[in-house]
Amino acid sequence: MTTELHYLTIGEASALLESGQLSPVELTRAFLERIDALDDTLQCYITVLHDSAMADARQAEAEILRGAYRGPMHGIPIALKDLYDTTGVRTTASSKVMAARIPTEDATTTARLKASGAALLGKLAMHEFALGGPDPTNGFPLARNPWNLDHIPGGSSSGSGAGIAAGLCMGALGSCTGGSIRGPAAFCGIAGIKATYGRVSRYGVVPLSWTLDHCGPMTWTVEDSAIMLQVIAGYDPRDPTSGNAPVPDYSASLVEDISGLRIGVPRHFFFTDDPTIDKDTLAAVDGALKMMEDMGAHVEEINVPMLEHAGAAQPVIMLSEAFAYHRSNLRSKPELFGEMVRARFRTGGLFSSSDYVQAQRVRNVLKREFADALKVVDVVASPTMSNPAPRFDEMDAMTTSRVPSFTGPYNLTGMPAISVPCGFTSAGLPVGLQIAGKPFDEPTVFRAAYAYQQRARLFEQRPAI
Amino acid sequence: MPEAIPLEDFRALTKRAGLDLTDDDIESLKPMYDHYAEPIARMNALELDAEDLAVVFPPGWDPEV
Repeated sequence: MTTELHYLTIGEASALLESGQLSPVELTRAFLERIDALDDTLQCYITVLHDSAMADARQAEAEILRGAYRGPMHGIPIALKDLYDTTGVRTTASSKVMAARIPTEDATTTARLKASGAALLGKLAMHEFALGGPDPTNGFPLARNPWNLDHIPGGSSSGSGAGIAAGLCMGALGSCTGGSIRGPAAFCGIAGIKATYGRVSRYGVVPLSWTLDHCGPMTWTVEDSAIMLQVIAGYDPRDPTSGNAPVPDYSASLVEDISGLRIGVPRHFFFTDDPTIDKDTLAAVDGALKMMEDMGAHVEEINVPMLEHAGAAQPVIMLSEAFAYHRSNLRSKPELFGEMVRARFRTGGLFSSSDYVQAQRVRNVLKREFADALKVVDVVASPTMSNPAPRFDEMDAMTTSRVPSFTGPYNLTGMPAISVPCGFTSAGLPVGLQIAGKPFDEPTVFRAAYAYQQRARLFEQRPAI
Repeated sequence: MPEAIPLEDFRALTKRAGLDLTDDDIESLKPMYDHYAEPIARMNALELDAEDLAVVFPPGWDPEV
């Protein structure tokens, strides 16, 4: 085998595991050794589960050997953002508020991944309560970007993004309230999909904002995201926001043909001359759109006027709901919060009820405008982020709020949205292409992203670590 | 652009939210609130139609949930 084990994709590894050419024990051990070697530098993990991961792998090996192969996640080493509950394993949300919290039950997604036969390597670093930022005052690991250690890997699913890019796990779960899956995916040069609101259960996931939180996989390739989403998607009666639409076979959408696909681009919002938007990023995304046009897709401008107000509506809803959840602790033990998240949560208590109501109304108009646009086009494309990964020394509580959010609009609308790598800035930092689709139409989103990925072949480049 | 909220009014706002903040806390928090004030003012100035609802209460009751 020429590819190092830690750089196999889930798709490649699962074929080898099923056929017996690769042992789950060998594979998991390779990842644990790599974590031991690199994670002091990369800081991707809050908890590494050496013993239980090896036990998972030995069980997978025994099952596969006796012909009880469970599917493409069987024996695959994965990790979870540290806000997914794990029975008997500390789940902190990267906060001293929950530093000693040991769940007695798995999140639904955790349980589904365990049932798929995956080996759980550990719990991944994240920004505090999925919001704070890389905050040295909160006492938890601050994951670093494998493409350049002076830069953040994005957030809040920081360890998930960095861990996948560095080959410290094959698949990870992130969570996303304003871009926390797609942002780190873009910054780390990996794939990450925020599935439709209600598509993936949030039961047992520490909330940030009930009406904006989404769950989804982060992986090296689009195919791997489809494999992981297949396992975790589907109705969960324990999540009142869970949707019960049937789950399609996502692998069937992984075709390289996008001829005739209609791609809408709201250039009036994503491609403006705003000086805070990075020009290298826009050039990389324009290049990707040109490539998709060359592949037979129809790229056209669309108009979504209410995008102009998404940058106000999203933080009002997110921070108001977050304040409601954390109000008691913010009042009684504020010292347990890191400085960044404490300030942002407190701000959520200062908005008025009419701000919140207006933000929800704007959200509904935005959703309607996208629904109208998606009668004409199949997907909507844009840069994932308005800028590449900032340096650690540029970060404060408001750094990400000073530039336009290109991901937040799809948390407001609940549409599925993926980030797939589409190039690099002149400084060598990854750039992501964002593709969003109609609610529960993840297959078309996967089709567009997969076809582009296979043509661009950026997955062949790994960071030098 | 809305005028920045006076410091004493901002202090009252934090008290109303039940936050017991020091003067330093208030001074460091105010720029963050001010940052959001202008886009929120523009959002609030939108005249939306009566049918543009905020959230809809579903009247059904599923005892399983």
